[in-house]
Amino acid sequence: MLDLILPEIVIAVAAILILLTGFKFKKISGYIALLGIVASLISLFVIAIQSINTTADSIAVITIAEGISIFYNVGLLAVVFKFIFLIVGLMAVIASLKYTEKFISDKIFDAYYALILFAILGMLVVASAADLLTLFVGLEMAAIPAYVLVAIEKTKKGIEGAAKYFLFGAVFSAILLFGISLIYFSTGSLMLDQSGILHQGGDENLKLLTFIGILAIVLGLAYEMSAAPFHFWAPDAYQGAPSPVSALLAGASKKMAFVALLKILVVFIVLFKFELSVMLAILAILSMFVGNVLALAQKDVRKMLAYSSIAQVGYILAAIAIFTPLGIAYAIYYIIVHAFMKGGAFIAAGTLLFVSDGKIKNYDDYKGLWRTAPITAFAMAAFMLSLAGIVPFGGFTAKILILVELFVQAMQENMLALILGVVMIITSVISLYYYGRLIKYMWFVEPEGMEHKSDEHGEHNEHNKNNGHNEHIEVKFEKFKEPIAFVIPMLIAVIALLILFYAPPFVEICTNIVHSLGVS
Amino acid sequence: MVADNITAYIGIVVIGVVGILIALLTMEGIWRALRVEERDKKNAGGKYETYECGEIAVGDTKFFNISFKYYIYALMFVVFDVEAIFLFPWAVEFTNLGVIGYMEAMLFIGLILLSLIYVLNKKFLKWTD
Repeated sequence: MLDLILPEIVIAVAAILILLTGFKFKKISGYIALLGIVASLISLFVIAIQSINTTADSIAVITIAEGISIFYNVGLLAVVFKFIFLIVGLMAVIASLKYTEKFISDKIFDAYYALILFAILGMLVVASAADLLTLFVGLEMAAIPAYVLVAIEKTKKGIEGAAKYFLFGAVFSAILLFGISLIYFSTGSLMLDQSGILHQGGDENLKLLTFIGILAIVLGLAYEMSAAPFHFWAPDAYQGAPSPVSALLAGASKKMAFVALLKILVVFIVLFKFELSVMLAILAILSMFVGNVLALAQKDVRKMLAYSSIAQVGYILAAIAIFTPLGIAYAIYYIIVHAFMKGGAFIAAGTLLFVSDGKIKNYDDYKGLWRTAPITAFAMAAFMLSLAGIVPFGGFTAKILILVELFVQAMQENMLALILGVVMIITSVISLYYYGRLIKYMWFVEPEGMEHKSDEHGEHNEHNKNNGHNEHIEVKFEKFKEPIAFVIPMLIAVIALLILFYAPPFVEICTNIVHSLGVS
Repeated sequence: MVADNITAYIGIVVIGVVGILIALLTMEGIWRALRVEERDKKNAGGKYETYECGEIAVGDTKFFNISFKYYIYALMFVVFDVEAIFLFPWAVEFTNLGVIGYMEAMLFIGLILLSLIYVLNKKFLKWTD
């Protein structure tokens, strides 16, 4: 029965191997990490084949020996989210193979890759958690390496971002644990199924305690997924971290918080449907406003991406807040699409940092990139278009499905859905500005000091150089050599977005997930 | 009252006295064995100066001469001490747990041992060059 936890075992073994051998052979750490994630993906495929067509929620009881068993959830929800985590992790590790050459001291290569693998391991555990304590252990196992990874570049911004992330993260983890303890007290069970609720019996005080427990848990998770008003760590952390780590954080760590939220919510929907709806709707509206409005003023591209992440979290929360099966299915679909969008966008930003030795950071530096870094410019434009929700990328289908569901519910007199839908439309229009600005700067604006000239004029310039060299400033642009290690993850993300544009098979998977969760 | 079963507590008294003696004697013995004589300190070229955030030290520091490098040992101690705490209940129920309990505890110790191997390989436990 151990083959059901084979992905986790493979990742753990790879991380331990890195720690044992990395002190001697510096570069081997990256390749062991790569091998580990690929092996884990293959073993996940094997499990997925068994569970892709089932709608039953399978809590596997893994029996290690007589009388010793662990509860582990390997249903469709777990498998799909494990895929997301492993693929985003794969993208981050491939990009790290090249990124670490310039920006991270080679004495800590082994620590870097081992920490990434441990973070991914934590996320896998959260995806498969069947009880609250395993959930908490997984959340901490994924968060603590992230605290270190944000600071691993030892720049001033990195340490500042990591300090904010870590200090507040410790507090919110404590709040999460407090909520878990309250729920254990009031329901008597730590298992993430309905059994604890049914034993409750309707005592009013107990119900209040349960609700406070859920509130605390949602607060703790809202910090991890950087929903407003608990978003303040995200911009500094994403800016200061190495870009592959930012890709992992934004692409995978947020989704881990979402899967934890989904697991907990479906247990308590029966009791507190209206209150939970309102709570999530408030978080969603705040996130959409804060994320989109504050992103307008950002100059650093990575900070803009962080604020846009906050806004996207708002969209996903809006889809979850209405608690319909289709709403949650579309939210899961948006989660899948967003993982690729943000992971790819951060890796593209990292590529530009790498090839320019850290100089291309702000919007102004992105001017004229279509000439100097064409592949990255194309990929970044694809990610921006997808984030804005424009055909033919996955972001379009995801956004429109959520909007349709919100307004269908609004037409059935659900006031909350109407408010959420309107806010989502307004903020999506606002977001078009800063996504479009990046595309415009990359593709349609020339950098300063370079007049517009085409190739024919270039020829003439050579002749006129003697006469007046203030006619046309001759600027030669050198094309950046984009390493293949960065191109591969970006290509994976772009192709994934194009594939995800055709929604029906993926939406079917998502509705199967929702049925397996048991949402009415 | 005090007189009931007082012989049962003799064991605790003995352990207490012996424990305190062991601690004191160990500390004294190690201090005597590892201390650097005053005359060697003067000829060492500044290696034994007190660390005061990079500035020239002011004042007498004979009492507070704790090196900063001690921190890594304290960290390792905490990890292994917590491991020992986890091993105490296992040791109490050792016979009832059977072979599978033994294997699991060996796995636990082995994983923590890996961390010790990592620290040794990276030479974090070296006191001086």
